[in-house]
Amino acid sequence: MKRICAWCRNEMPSAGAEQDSSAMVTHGICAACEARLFPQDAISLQQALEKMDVPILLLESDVVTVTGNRRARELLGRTLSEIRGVKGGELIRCVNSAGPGGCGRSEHCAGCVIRETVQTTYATGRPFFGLVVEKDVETPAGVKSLKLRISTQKIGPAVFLSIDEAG
Amino acid sequence: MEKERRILAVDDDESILNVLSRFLKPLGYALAIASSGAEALEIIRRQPPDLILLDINMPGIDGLEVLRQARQLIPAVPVIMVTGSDDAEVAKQAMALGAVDYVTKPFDLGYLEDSIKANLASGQKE
Repeated sequence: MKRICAWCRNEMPSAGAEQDSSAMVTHGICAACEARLFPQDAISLQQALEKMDVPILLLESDVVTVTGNRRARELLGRTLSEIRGVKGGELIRCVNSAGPGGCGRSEHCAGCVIRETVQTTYATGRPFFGLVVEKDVETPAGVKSLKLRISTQKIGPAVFLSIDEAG
Repeated sequence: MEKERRILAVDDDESILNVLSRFLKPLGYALAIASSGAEALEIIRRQPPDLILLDINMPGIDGLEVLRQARQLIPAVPVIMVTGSDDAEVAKQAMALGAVDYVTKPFDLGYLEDSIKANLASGQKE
């Protein structure tokens, strides 16, 4: 069964292992839209994130950002509104996210360690710590290879991704 | 002391049940949840609620069938359809079967609260 967020119309990941092949569509709400629906709770979550002294992004399973803290915004050079609802690859300006369909849709995305790690944590709850990954990203000076250290942890219906330059 | 009003929320999508739970509990309602039509009918028979929020598109027993059976089992209990379907024919069918309101997703929480209050109040008068 296909799941659509009735608020933003984006497709949502299947709720469980059960894969119903029927053409039926069910309407839910994604974590980003739920956060917007309860801004008073989102503020307290945001405040908690701001206190963390490492760059943290809160992501959904398709690596769509629900929010991020100050350190993450500084690292990415983005404002809070610029990171919400945006896919991870587009946030870090991954070269593969510039193609049709964006982050997660190019032929190279199947091997993306960040995507795979976030999705595995989301699906299984398994955390990952200190993985070093390399990404080619667009910069004003052209394409640059960036070494990033990532860790993931599932909390509630989202994945916390800490991400930082690995030098 | 006023009796705590009990609402049954029925939806096959857990995220909607979470939202309804986050929204309704702080308003002072007791919430029962069902993620299928069969589960909803079981709760209705076992412990009838004061009001039902009912999705339509669910695998197995769909919302219209739950509505039909609920009207027979607990005719005085108001049923508000909360659905992703904006098909006018389905809405007409639901209202003809006795639904008191038809709220489409994405729903406005303020509207939903007003509808619940109004329908619980009119249910009390009857």
